[in-house]
Amino acid sequence: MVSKKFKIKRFDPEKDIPGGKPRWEEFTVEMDPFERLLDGLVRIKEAQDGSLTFRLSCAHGMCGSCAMKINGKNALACQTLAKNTPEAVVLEPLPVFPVIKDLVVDMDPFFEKIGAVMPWLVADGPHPERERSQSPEELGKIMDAIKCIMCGCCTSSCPVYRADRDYLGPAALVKAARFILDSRDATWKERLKAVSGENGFWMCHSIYNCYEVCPRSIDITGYIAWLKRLAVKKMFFPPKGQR
Amino acid sequence: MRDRPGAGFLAFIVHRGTGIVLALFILPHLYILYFLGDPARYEAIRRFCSRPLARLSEAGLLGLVLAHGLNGIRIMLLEAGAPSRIQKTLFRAAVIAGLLLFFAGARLMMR
Repeated sequence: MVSKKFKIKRFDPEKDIPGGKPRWEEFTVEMDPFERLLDGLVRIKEAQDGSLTFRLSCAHGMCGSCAMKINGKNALACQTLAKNTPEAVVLEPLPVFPVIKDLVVDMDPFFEKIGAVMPWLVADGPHPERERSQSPEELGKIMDAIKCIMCGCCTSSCPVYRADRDYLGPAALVKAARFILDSRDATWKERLKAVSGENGFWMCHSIYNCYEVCPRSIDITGYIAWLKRLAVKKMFFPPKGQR
Repeated sequence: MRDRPGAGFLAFIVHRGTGIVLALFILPHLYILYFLGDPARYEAIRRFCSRPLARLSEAGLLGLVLAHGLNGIRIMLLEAGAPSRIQKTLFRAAVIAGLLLFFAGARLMMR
C-alpha cells in the first residue's frame, strides 16, 4: 500500500463565488499501487468527505465520465493508476467548461459542438431489410475515430478552443471526419460545409494537445489534417457568410 | 495547476512568436532597402551593419528565420500526411537542425 495525497480543487455553488479564488482541499488515502485514482476518490467520498462531487459511471475507460485534469494533464481518473502518479496528486475539473460542483463540469457547450456536425448516419437509397454492411477495409477507415467516448479531454485541452469558444473543437471535428469517411454515409458535402466554416478545422493550429491527452489514443490532429486535405482536394470552400 | 506544455505547444509558441518578430522586422528592413539607391546613405548603412552589435543582431535574425522556417516545414509535413506519432521527433529534429545551422551560420557572420 502507498500513501497518496489528493489535492483537489473544489467549488461549491452554495458557498463559493463563481470565478473567485479556488478552494483547495487535501486528503490522504492508502492505496494499492494498482488501484485507479477513481478508487481513491470513491474512498474519500465514502470515508472522509461525502460532499466531494465527481462523475463516475463505467469506471473502465468506456464512458468518459471521470475526465478531469490530473497533475496538469487531462485524463480519465479510471485509467490512471496510483503507481503512475507522484505521491501528491493534483485533481482539477476539466478546464474551459463551466464548473457545476467540485470536479463536475457542464458538458453542454461540448455536446452542442458535437450536435452541430450532424453526428448521425445519413444513408441514401431504400432502407435495407438487414443492416447496411461494410467491408473490413471500409470499417478500417473509421475504426480509430469510432473509439471516441466523448469525454471532452481533447476539446478542453485545445488552446484554440480556450481562446475562442466558437471553435468547434477537436472532438466535433473527429466526429465529422468519422461520418465523412463512413462508406454508408451519403452527405459528405453537408458535413464538410458544417466543419469548414470560420469556426471549423481551419482554426486548428496542429498543436497536438488533443492527440497527447486522448484516453483512447485517437489520432485526432491527424483526422483534422485529413479534413483540411480533403477540403483542398475537393476545392471545397464554404459559401460567403460562413467563411 | 498550469498545463504541462508538450512539444506541439512549444513548437506553436516558437512558430507564432518568431513569426510576429519577423513580421515586425520586415518593416524597418523595407524602410532601409528603400534608401539603398543613395550612395551616401548606402555607405552609412554599410558602416552601421559592420558594427559588432549589428552583426550579432543579424545572427539573431538568422536564428529567428531558422526557428520559424523549420517549424513551418514541420507543420507542412504533418498537415500533408506525415503520421502524428512523429510530431515530437520532427520537433526535436527541427531544434537540432536549427541549432546546428544557427551556430554554423553565426560563426561565419561574426568573423
